[in-house]
Amino acid sequence: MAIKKAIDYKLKVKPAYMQLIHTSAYEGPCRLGKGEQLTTEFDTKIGYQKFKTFKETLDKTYDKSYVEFMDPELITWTDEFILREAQMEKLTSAVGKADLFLFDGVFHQFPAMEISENFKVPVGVIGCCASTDGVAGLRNMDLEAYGYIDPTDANRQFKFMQVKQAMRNTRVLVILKNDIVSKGVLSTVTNLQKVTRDLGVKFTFINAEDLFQAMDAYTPEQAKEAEDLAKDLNDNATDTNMSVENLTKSTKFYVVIKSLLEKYECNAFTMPCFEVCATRKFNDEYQCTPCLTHTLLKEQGIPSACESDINALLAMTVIMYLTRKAPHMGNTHPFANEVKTDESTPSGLELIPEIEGKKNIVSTWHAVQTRKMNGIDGPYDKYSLKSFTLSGWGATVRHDFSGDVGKEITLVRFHPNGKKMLAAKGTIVAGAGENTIGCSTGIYYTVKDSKDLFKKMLDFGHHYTWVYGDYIEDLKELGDALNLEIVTA
Amino acid sequence: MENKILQTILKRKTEQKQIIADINICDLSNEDKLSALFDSYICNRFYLSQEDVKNQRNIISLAKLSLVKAKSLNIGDIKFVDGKDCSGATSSMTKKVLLLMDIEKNLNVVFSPEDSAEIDTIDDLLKLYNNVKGKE
Repeated sequence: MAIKKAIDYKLKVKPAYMQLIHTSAYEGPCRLGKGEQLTTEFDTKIGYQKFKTFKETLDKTYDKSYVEFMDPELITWTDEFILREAQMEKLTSAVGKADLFLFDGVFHQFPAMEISENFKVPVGVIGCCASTDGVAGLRNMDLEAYGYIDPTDANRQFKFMQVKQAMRNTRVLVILKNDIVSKGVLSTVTNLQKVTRDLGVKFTFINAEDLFQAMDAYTPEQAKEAEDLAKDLNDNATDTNMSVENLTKSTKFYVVIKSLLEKYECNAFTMPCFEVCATRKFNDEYQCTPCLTHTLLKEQGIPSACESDINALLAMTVIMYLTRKAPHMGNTHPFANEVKTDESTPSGLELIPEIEGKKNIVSTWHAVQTRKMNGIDGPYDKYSLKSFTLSGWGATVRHDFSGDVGKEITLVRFHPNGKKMLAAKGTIVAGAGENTIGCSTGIYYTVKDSKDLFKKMLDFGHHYTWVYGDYIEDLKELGDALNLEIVTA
Repeated sequence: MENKILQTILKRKTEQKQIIADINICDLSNEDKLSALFDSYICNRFYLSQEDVKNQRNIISLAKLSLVKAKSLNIGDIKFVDGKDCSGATSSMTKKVLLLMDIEKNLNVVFSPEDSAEIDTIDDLLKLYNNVKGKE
């Protein structure tokens, strides 16, 4: 049984074209024309013609990589202004299956409202002026409604809806040790029931002892998979300081976690590495860290965050589903050249000459880079392998960020209340720590105002997920779809 | 000037009547002749040349051509004359539907709304006409 990845969820849309048919020929405030053009026959025929164009637009304009259309319907109504049951019934079979009902047509705000009220389903309304009128009316009735300027706008916003639905199809496997709050991430979201209610993300907890049991019940098939994977990683790395034997200990952990994700029907992962590490099982027996597992899962579109950090995980889920890029995440802190004293050397990431004297410098570092930071559907980037520990175990993937200088990035993190997300744009200045051991590998970048960012970080916390590219505007719109406040810095 | 326009319209009307009469008596098996008559009919209705319908068989595209020619514009300017009206129909769409309704009335055939919408080209139109007439 494979992991059902939420990132691949396709938004299910039931489209309908709504045609108003006049029962007799007359001109008036809402229609102009002469002769045949005012007849019922013309309205009927042009309705089918427009329905045909509507279907062609569904084929041509929308990105089928994230949208799946059910059979389109032509819904008609007349100038008696009643939406008949026979028309309504054309949509009945899609109720409970469609994530959204999409309506285009003529004066279609009225039938859209009738359908929304009747079926209590989210509706999307395209075009002038039904979108604005209809959606405002529906929202005033506390019904879920979305408006689109035109089909191109609808297609763009469907991506946000797809992310929303993908979130609803995300179930996180959380390894529990001692406390739901890891002592390294006190800012984590603690009210997970609220997260489930608001965003639809679900959580399954298992005890660390269950994980150890799974590690101990390692099968020969799993051993073979771990060995093959370690060999492949080793063979394709540009550089490594690890023995294949030590590398295999980390791929073993990945294979076991994958099997647990399958077993518990989860498609996201996090664990409190400090607390689990303190059991000594990972040092004395398994000799691995979770870093490589986080990297490998993310590369497949499976959110996987360090240190049971639910804020970072939720932000990772959002940005990964939106961009289809496998993000890096890490400790984030301004370097603050502007205010530093001789004593304020940065902790974590090594000091490098490239940042000296530069203003608004921020650093992000953790040993969970990925080889698919340019997109999970593309080829692997070049990478090296480094052990996390001086003892030579705990595999981590390293990326040389020196080739990314000047690239824009977007970093994100959820607020501890789960209702806000901080999003900041940066520009990479340098990579650092590629050849160090431990967690200290990542990037330095400039932001607009590091003090402003830091002030906001004091409300949000320290781990940030980031991807290449500027997604601030997309995130603002996505925030509307998710009912999530986007705080920018 | 006004007189000249009127004369052109009347000439077209007379030509149209003749084309309709010719189609009505044309043997359905004489496909080439029927095709030429439908071409002429569309040229007449849309104020286009035989060369136009030879190069472009799609009825909506011919309607668009007709719209730009009437305003002495280039086809690249079609968006300025083919916008949607309050009912969401473009002018070219309306011209196509009116053309088909005109054919139905003049040639005494009935095309269902679904079939009408599926007619893309003059050849589709001819095929449907043959099907409907052939069943009579």
